[in-house]
Amino acid sequence: MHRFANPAKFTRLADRILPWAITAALIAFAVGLYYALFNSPADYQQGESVRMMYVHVPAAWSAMFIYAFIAVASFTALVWRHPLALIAGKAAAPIGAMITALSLITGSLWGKPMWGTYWEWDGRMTSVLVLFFLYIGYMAIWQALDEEEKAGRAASILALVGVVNLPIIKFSVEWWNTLHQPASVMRVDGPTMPAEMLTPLLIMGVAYQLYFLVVVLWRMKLEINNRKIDVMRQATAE
Amino acid sequence: MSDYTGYIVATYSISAVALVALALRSYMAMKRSERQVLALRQARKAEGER
Repeated sequence: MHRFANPAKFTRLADRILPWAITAALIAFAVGLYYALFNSPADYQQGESVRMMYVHVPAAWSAMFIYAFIAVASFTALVWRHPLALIAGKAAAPIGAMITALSLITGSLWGKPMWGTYWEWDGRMTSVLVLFFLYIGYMAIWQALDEEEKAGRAASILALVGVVNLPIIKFSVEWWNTLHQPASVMRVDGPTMPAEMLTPLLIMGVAYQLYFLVVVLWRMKLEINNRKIDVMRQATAE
Repeated sequence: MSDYTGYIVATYSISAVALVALALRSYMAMKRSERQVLALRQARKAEGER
């Protein structure tokens, strides 16, 4: 891990990974969308509206995965002071915030025809909204404090405190009465969803993760370059 | 055409626009920063030679 703490080494590694990750992401999205829109059955209860699941559920999974990624990066930054860990967390936050917003918006659009309402203060929706605010808070701390190290430390502590929200999101459908259905994919006894629906859902899930990988690498390179620019400008000013 | 077409189109369009917009924004910002680093390096090199 520390081998890639050197920004130059990391940039070289990212440049090697990126073309493959971009190609894989494009293929996964193309195949996933084809299955989701044209080659998967309508649900016997929800009809064609089930097609919204193929963008809503992967967005919800990614929203949680990216937060967990930021939490691990924050822990690494606080404990081992890994120089790239803070950069990784900072780079991932806007992607996570946008995907969480997408999860909320697409969920609302699916909720209206199915439940008759765009919004309900149930456990799942409220805890995902809290996740969105955690992302906003994490980014706001980075913006609010001038000193990079202090901002990084404060944002990391918030990210770690916010981890408690992840199991709340996951188990909210079991702990409280909710409009959401119980888990049908990530279950101890295996998924209850038919393979014709599960396959496109998993492909879209992979596509969202590859999208995150591509964009987070671009944003990490951007952060590294911005730091280089600051250092060079300071040196020129002196 | 199902009753849900409008909702499905809105769901997919909003997701596509948001994902593409963030990816393009990130890529262009990264490329701009690469050019800035290069320009600053060249300026320092030119100054060193003088």
